[in-house]
Amino acid sequence: MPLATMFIIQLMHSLVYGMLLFLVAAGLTLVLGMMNVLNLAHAAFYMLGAYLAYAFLKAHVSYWYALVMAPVVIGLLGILFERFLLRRAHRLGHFHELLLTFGAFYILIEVARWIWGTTPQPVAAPPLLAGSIHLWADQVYPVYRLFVLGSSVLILLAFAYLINRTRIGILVRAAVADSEMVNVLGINVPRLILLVFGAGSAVAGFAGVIAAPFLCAYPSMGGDILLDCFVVIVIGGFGSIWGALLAALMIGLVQSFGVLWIPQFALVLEFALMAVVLIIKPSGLFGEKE
Amino acid sequence: MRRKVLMIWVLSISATLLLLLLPRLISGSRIILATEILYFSLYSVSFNLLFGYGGLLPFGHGGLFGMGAYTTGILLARLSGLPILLTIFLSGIFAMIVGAIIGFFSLRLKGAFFSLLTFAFQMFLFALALKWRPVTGGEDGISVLRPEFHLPLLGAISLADRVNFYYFSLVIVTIVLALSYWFLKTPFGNSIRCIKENEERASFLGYQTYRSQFILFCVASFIAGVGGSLSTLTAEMASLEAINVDVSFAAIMMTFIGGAGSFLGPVLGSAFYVVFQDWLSSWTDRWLIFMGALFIVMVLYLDSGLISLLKKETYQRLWLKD
Repeated sequence: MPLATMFIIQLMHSLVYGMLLFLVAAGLTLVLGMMNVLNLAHAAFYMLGAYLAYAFLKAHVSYWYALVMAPVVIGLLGILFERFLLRRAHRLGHFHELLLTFGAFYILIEVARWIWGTTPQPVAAPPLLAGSIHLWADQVYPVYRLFVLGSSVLILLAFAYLINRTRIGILVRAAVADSEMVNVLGINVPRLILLVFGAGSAVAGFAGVIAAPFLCAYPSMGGDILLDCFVVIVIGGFGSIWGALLAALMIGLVQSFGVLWIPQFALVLEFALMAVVLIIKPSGLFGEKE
Repeated sequence: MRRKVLMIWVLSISATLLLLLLPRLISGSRIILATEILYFSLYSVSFNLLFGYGGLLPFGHGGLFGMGAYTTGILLARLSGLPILLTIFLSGIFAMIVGAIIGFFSLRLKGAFFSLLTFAFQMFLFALALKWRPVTGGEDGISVLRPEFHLPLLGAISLADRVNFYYFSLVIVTIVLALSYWFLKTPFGNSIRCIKENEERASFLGYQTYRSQFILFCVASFIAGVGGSLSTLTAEMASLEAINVDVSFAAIMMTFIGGAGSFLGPVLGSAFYVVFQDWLSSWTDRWLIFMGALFIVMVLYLDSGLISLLKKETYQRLWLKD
């Protein structure tokens, strides 16, 4: 394969993974900005999304149905988790919140291991998206990855519209900047957090469903994406969506090109990138507050 | 007050008697459980030095435990004739060196980001143990035999015997625990607590907070490494089970279930963890779910741990709440 072609293919791979990572990291960083808690269970929701897709397909339900239903189920789960557990821990202090989300992360992964086992479960892409298309000459690219790219760009656009153009978006941005002040101004911030939490969980679930056909569903996928998300948030700046987007695309590049040249050290490269950003700008690329 | 002092004496004397007579009280194979409790105590106390005393919450403490475990495995497999005490000590030292590297970077971040960076290091160490087959044995691990223990006057003692090894571990764990207790009572130990309470104020008072936390991290790494070393000796094997993510989770659970606020809380937590695991795993494979559920209940309702059940105030607080 000529070098230029390989370069373009890897670039596309990196875009696909970067966008997927962005979908998971966006909800995480918003909640972090509003509640000041890093919700580790978020990564488990992503894993759960992939497994729900697997379970739906196994029950001979269409993939498209799973694509709609799994985010709804996971969004509701997220809302219940926030309302009945996390809010309680919020009053007890920062460590309690972190430990609670950690415990939930752990239990969800154990439940997944229990029900579906530890071996990666393959999920078939829907017939409509199976196979590859010709990009040019004899170069092919899997349709499914293009679908992942397209749908995550759609979600990104929806996100951008909501955040920048609607009243709720304004409130969310204000709450990220200073949730206490927004609360004092008469906005029901706990309800707003609940809403963002639910939406973020649903998007994480969605990311899990679309990730399943090309990454498989496996229990430690939550832990894997958690580390990448963590790097994304640190690089992008806490609570910043656009920082998260930029950082996720950067990590996508590091991942796909790192895997190409030095497979063992993709993780090391990521952390080197993070270290560089931390040294140049400790609050992250787009971060304002510490 | 006098009654309280009496209570403490009665409790500690009976605990000592229990520990000394344990091999006579329980059957042969169960003594391994007791030895497990011993090294887990060391490990969870080292975690609690960071969490309960230092206000740091590492998610990757198991990596250091694993470093101790693998160092012992490699030393025993490659260098026969190395005295066992030296092996254990070197394992602690090696864990401390790795811990110094991890702490050097991680301590620059605060809160959840500190936690996750240590978690990332742990994942890296796990990957190393899994992939660096020539040294670590990969998925097979390293099997070792417990060497003899040479005392200056009494001659060699066979540690292959489970009961002997139990007493050997008991002595080592007691000494290291006593040293860490003493460590916390030094002025340095007090400054650690001061930094936990209010880092900003401590640094205004002239404490070098980063340096103190770094030293604390190194000490905790050493203790965790000694715990890991004993785990290899107990299992006669250094395997991925000593370095996987579950080990890090175990530290958090043992410490929190036992009680992070007190020195002996994690010891109680380790005992509970091991016994509960033994009991649960006799009827389900997925006992960790139950452990996790218990952990969440504890976080929400009894954050001072099981050890606080010994105190009267806890009941008053539980009773009076809402």
